[in-house]
Amino acid sequence: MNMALPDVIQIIREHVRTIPPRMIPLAIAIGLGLVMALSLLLPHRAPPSPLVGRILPSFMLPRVDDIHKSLMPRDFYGQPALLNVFSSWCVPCRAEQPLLMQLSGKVRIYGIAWRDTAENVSAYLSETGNPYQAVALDKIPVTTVTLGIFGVPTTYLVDEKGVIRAKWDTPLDQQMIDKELLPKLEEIQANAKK
Amino acid sequence: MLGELGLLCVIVAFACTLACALFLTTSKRGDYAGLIAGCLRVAAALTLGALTALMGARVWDDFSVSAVAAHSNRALPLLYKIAGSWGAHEGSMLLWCAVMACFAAVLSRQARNELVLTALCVQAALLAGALAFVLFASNPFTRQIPPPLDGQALTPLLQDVALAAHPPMLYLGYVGFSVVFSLACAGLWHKRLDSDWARMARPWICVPWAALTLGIGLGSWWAYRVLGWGGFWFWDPVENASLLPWLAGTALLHVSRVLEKRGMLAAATALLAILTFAMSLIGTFLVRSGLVTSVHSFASDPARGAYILGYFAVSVGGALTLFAWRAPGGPRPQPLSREGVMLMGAVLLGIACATVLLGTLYPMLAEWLGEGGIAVGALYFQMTVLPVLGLCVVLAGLAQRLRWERDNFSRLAPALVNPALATLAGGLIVLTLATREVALAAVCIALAVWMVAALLFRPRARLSVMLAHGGAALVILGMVGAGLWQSAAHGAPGQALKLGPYTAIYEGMEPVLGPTYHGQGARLRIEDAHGMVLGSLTPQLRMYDGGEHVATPAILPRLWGDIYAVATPEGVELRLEPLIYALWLGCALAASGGLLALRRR
Repeated sequence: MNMALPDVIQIIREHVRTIPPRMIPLAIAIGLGLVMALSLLLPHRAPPSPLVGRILPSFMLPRVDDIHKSLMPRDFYGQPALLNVFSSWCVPCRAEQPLLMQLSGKVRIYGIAWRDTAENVSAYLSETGNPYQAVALDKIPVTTVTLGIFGVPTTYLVDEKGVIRAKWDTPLDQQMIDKELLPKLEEIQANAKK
Repeated sequence: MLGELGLLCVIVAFACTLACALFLTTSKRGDYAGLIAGCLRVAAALTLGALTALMGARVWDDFSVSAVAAHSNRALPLLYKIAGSWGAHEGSMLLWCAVMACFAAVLSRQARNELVLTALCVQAALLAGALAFVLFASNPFTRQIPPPLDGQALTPLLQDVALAAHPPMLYLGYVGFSVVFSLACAGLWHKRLDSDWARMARPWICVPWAALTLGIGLGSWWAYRVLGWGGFWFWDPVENASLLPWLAGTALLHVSRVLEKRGMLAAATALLAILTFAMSLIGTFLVRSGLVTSVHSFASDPARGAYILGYFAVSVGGALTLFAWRAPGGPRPQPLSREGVMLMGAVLLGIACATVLLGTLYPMLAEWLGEGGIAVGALYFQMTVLPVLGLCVVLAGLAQRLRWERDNFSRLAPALVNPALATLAGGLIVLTLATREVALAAVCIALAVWMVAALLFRPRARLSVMLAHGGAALVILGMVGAGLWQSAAHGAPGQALKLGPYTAIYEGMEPVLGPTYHGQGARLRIEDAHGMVLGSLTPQLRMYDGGEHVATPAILPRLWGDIYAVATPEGVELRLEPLIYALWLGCALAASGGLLALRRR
């Protein structure tokens, strides 16, 4: 049973013509239902953060290890780096920590402890290991608005000029690291060498 | 204890409604009319009881109920402990069921009517589905042991009087349209979609429509007073979710008038009744599934989205299958007649509704098409939806002067002279007096004048129509004022800020302390052009105990509009919002018009 495409179109067209108009709402509703069902099944991506492509917004936060030192966007210049916003009370952050430990060999990681205290952060880091170059404390928190954080963990990839190149507002997993983070990092490093 | 009592109420109510719904399978419903009506009344009482139990758990700080622990705390003022019951997902779904059950209980007074009895069974099936959702996917009474000592803070933005009343109003509209949906299904089934049907359905269209209008107005008022952006509508998916059923409902309201008066457009009425409720469901689906990113995404849970989608498939799919099978035929109205123009208006409203739906769903579609995550901005909606609605306004004025059945141009033309002159005058006044966005403003104001003038020059205009259309005209006025003529000025502390005829003089910072927040307020003295002090404004930067920062605006109402001040990290922003109060006034007027339409002639 081989039919040419124009024949098939002709047949469909005839069938469509015989559909009474009162069937049309049902057909549209079925289509709409399918659209919504598919959108539930397909993986969902958030719209890109407006911060991506912009320079890291200014902040100055005291460091956990020494409150007389501070962390600020200047620290990010020179080499690409990750900025990981976490909390000692956040369970997904705890799950993410071993992956960050692995990553810390490949790229500098800075941490911001969000809505947290110095004691809790120190205890947390001694328990899970410390992948960070430096950890700053955001007690109040002031970075919520400037960095657009609506939950922890949130991770930013910042290039050598201090420009945010990617943002993840979900915990990182191995797949995201292999497929998104590392390729982007390599791209940034290759560009920096040129 | 209260939690278990509430849960028990929901379970028994579910059983009651399920029993009623089973009567859909038999044609001998008439013998059990009393039983069905009784069951639905019991279900209404029980769902209200469950809602009260949830409120009680919040008032007495029972943090072992996880919905209480997640959205209420000891320091929360009593009003928000009660009103916050429906702030979160679980509670709002319970409210949804309670409203639906109460509507069913009121409808059950007419249970002796065969048509109403079928509608009651359909309504019971809808209610059973919603209660099953509460029971299995969003139980508000889940316990957590051991209970926390204190609950999480309620998002400070939600602690507002307008927002306490906004969800119940909106739900009264959303869910209220379920009754006319059930009546339409019953009407299709019994093939009795006629003038009598329309007369019976009128309160079930007017009341939800009025509630939805008021609810949208309240939501917009809240956004204006609390969010500090100085706007009133942001074309956000959640706002669109409330606009969709409103547009469809408005079309339904007008088409059902034609059915009542002339016995025509039965199929269109039934279809719009089904679609209006479908839009309510799509709105709920969009909000509850977290598919569209929004400034107020409350709950995102794909399982809940799947359930609501299943509910949509069964209810709307079933109703539309019934429609495809039994849609009544009928004569088409003359194009130049009141019913013809009303049908055209309904079609335009349908187009506007589809356009909003497309814009709301488009980010989702674009993602599949590989365009990546995008957001559809306000510009799309302004350029597509507003012109269509403008055309609706033209028709709304025209319909006032047209006769039923058929009309001719030679009779119509003299009748249109006066309104047309008034419209022209309105447009010209704006053209000469306005300083900004002159052309667009003139067109919009002319439309508003046209809508009212056509009514005023009409003999024996109904008060309800006058209020509703007058309200719509006021909304247009407010949109022009706040959308086109708004002006803003920024200033750092210490400067005198000039904006229009007003000057704001910074008088210093003062600490503010509220029940759940503390912060700083910048006190501004407002003077007019002659240096007379009009009052002072204190926009605040509040820090809530939960850690959220909120810029709370301050508003000084004047005759010609609001002076609106909001504190920013750099200083203060002062805005003039001309005529913006016309928006909320218009919504209230339109809603009262909708309620007045209940009156029998």
